Amino acid sequence: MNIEKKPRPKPGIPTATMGDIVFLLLIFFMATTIFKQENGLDVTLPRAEASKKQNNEQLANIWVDQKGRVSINDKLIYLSDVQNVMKRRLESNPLLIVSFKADSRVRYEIMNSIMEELKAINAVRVVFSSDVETATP
Amino acid sequence: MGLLAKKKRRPAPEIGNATVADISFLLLIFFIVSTVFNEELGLPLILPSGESGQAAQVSRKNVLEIKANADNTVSVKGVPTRVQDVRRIAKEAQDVNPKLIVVIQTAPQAQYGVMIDILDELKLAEIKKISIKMSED
Repeated sequence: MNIEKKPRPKPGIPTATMGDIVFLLLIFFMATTIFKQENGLDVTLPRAEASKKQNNEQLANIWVDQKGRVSINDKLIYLSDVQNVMKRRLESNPLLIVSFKADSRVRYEIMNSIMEELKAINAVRVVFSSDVETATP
Repeated sequence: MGLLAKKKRRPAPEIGNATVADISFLLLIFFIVSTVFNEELGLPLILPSGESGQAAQVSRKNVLEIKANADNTVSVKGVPTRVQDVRRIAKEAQDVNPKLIVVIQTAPQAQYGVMIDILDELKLAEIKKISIKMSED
């Protein structure tokens, strides 16, 4: 009697469920990931045609809303504190570019005071944030 | 007589794993196409160094002063001008004198947006040396 033992295929681990698990994980992380975002103040940026794209990484944002409130890093601060806050940022990055996100209706004297504070600590690289405006005929 | 009832082994139906790759690529391409990065737009400027009131030694004839008045109008050499004309005036002045420095002098009560409008026009006119200051009142 020649009974050939047919080699039975070993039952493998069912891999059909692997895709399911991967997608579950993917969807979980998609739903829970939060990117840190600065909220800033509610401002209507001035419109400027010559607006150019700025490199994002070296920016520190100073928000000034219409009433003249100043905010850095989502904290409302007094003018006298601008120097301290910016000094720390400047120390970590000497090439810091300060971005003014100020409402176009802010009185200029407020902007000037902030700029004086920046000049005192030698943070002179400044960008005035603006929205794009198409050419007026 | 052996009845060899050959029982054909039907292969158990499996979920085709080839579609998993298809779905993941679809998702990937979807996210690649729909991801939006924040665009920073603005007008760059280097603040004039030195404390306010300390004037740098500049010959008067190399300076063109554009004033933003407290009532949000613009004037050049005392002549009220429209913001759109600033571009042409400044460009002509720079063509005449390549060493020209244009100074935007803003009244404290003027709106910051007016200064940005003037700065915008100067950037469009490709003025190379721009400075800003605040008038006494």
